[in-house]
Amino acid sequence: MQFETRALGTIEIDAADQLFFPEGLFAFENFRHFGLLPTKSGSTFHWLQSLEEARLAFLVTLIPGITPTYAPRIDEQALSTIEAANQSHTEIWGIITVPTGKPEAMTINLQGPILINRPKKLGGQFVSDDPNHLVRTPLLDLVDKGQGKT
Amino acid sequence: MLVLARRVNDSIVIGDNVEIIVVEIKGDQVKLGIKAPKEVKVFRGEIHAEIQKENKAASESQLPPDLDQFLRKK
Repeated sequence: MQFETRALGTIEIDAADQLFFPEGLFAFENFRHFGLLPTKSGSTFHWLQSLEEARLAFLVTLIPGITPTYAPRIDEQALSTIEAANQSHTEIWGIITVPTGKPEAMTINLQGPILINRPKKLGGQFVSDDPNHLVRTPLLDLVDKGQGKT
Repeated sequence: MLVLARRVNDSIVIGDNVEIIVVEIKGDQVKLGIKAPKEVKVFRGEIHAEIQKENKAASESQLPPDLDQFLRKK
């Protein structure tokens, strides 16, 4: 099926690549259907694109790819929303905020990550109770640290 | 808004299965215990508001032109 997107024009998104968010995202509870689309071929950065509102899209990346030690405690309630038996069945994505004109100051939200259960095509945003997981974690600092460890 | 005065160890019951207990009062800080079923979401109010605000800010973000290279260079 064809969808209009914010950044990629009108594109074909297979049913297999359409995700359902039973509770939406905080502040966007009414938008439930999303596609997860690479920003360009091979990129680790994706658009979480609303399939109901073309103008609504979030820049996201897999958090473990940026900071491998990230391990929030995911409660049973969050897992049940996406029908995941346990944490190992989930992908964990972070929403990136890029301040206009200052890409170097971009941040990733480690306090409110997105969980995706790929086999069930379900997603949701949950709240980490770890005080070290900040809503605005500078992305470039995190990349420096992540690479320092490897 | 309903306002109730409570002392330490007093509680408030909301509906059939939510109970909030005043565990400790120290200066201007109150520690509350919350008994609620698993499916009831409990958050600190400011965290909820903060994530809502951040989602709105994130939804305005433009993709930096060379994001992948930007990170690889680091």
